[in-house]
Amino acid sequence: MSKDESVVIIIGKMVLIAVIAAALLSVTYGPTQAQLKINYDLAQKEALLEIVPEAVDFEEVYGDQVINEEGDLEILYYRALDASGNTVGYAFFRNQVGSQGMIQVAGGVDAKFTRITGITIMKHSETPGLGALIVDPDFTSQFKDVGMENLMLTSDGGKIDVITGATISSQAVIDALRGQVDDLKKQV
Amino acid sequence: MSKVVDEYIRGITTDNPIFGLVLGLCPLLAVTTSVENGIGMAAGAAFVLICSNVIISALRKQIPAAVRLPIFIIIIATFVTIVDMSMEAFTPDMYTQLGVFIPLIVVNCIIIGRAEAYANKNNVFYSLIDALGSATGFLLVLVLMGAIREILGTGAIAPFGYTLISIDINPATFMIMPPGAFLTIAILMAIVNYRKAKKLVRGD
Amino acid sequence: MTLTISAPPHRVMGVTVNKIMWGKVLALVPVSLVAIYFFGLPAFGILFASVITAVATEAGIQKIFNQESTIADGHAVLIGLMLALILPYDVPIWIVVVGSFFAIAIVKHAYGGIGSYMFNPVLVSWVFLNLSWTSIMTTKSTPHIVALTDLILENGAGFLVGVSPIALIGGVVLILMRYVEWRVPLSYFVTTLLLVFLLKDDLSYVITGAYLFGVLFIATDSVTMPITKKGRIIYGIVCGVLTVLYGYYASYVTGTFYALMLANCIVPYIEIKTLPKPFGGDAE
Repeated sequence: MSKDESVVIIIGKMVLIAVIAAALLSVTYGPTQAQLKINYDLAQKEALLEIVPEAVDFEEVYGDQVINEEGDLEILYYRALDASGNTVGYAFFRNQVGSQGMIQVAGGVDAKFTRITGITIMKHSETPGLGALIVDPDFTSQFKDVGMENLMLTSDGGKIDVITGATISSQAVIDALRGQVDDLKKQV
Repeated sequence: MSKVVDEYIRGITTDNPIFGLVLGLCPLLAVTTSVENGIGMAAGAAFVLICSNVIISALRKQIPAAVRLPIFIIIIATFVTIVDMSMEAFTPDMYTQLGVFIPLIVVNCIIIGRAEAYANKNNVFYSLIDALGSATGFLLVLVLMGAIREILGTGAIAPFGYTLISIDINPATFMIMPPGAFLTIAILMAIVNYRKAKKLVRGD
Repeated sequence: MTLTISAPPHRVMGVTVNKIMWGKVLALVPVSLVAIYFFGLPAFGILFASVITAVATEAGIQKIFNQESTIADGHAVLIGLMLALILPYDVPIWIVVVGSFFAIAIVKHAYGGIGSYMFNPVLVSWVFLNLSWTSIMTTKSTPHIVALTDLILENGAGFLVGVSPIALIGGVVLILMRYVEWRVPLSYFVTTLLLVFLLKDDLSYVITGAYLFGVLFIATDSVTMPITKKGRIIYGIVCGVLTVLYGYYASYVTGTFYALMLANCIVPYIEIKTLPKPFGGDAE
């Protein structure tokens, strides 16, 4: 800690520490990134199987936009296949603006676009106790096998009961599904 | 030997990061919606605190005084980033709950405070003891806050899927919302200060 | 209590804290009776539980901390009564007890009791209940004053106080008797009306029992209003602007309470800015 350490030595020490820090981080980066990819794939696979119960396998349908550096294409939707390889429906992930932030909804629809087969909420940041209840099975199970004509809040004549005090969040989930099914009709 | 015990206890009582030094309130208020989050946050902070205290103490003779703060920050930031990446990969649920407060451990005053005030002046062993003490103090407060808010806000304390206590009330959502954090810390702080004031009167 | 900052000489008025508090309680009796008549036994239960809890809490706290008992000044009774009046008629009794306890123990006494609290205990407690148990605290109907008879008996009342705006006339009497400050309610009321007309909002949703209660009883709480005359007019205007802001985009009923609580926050600032300069003192 002598006062007359020259600038060169100070810089040299800082660089040395920075290099060691960088090395430590790169050692951590590899395994965690691999684990992250595994986590993400697992979560998606679980969600897909849940929302289209009849399906046993899913086939990605790619769009033409590149989404990351590895040159992967964006996934527009998933084609849900049963044991003999027939298309029984479509599954998708859709982002929708809720009351506090983005809500990512995973939804499934049957092959003729007549009914929703099921949904799960992948991500959200809604108010605890109110909007956050969209992840509650009491809410999501209402979407199981609901016809497209009934995919509205009860106050609008549909079959989905609103969460008390969280109309915006409830409506956002419905909007996500309706919007995506409309898009799917054009894409398929 | 008794000095070791004293140094450890000091981190929990007089130098308690929250009640003694009033540092690290930001993560305390933000993440203590449940016991589980409190433990997660405290574990992350403890890891960074212990590692950085030990490393800084070991390097204290080599660190030029003029640039010690940038160097502390590099060391702390490295450990925080390791915690951040590991938690994201291996405990994804907790990571989503704690969110931005993991990266923010970098600027947590407890860690830079202990580095500057203690590790920079004392040897590796005592720095380790000091870090352990502070980490324990932080953990205890986080768990206490988390427990109070979780039981009142959700009606049960259920860390890591084990329901420890469950009471049959209509839970007050207020308690797990941000104002509940301020209310809880205010009441706890008032109790602690009331006791301190009484001790002063008695002349202890 | 109309505290004024002015140069001597001062003279004694016959008004004391006790008289003001019991006067306010008396002024709220008519609306409580109408509420009991209209909603029946539940309303009585709420009023009773709230007042009893408030008084018991105050007595308990003062006993524990060896303070002089201040129950006789009527402030605890008033807080209990006011809180009960801004609850929906169908809330369970435990909510009333929790709210009343919260108002007295935490918002009033933790801050040092009467004269020292920063926020009106009734408001803070109401906000606490509203955030905690939103579904219970949400009223089943919104008052809408369309005919003159609605001013006397409002069938769409959500909160107890909403049943009869006219029964709050006691608040006006208190102002005329100089028991209660007139600047705050007047500037508050005028600002609201002015803004409502400017924004072409529907006045029939504004002049509800809850709003008038806010103007006459909550805004005029002498502890949470500025002590300077000019400051009080500014305070009233701020209350009015915030109420219309909340009301225009959401509801005038709940908007009133949130607006008043926010206005409480800037009271110290208003006071600092409007304190009279001593004679010969430096101009700012």
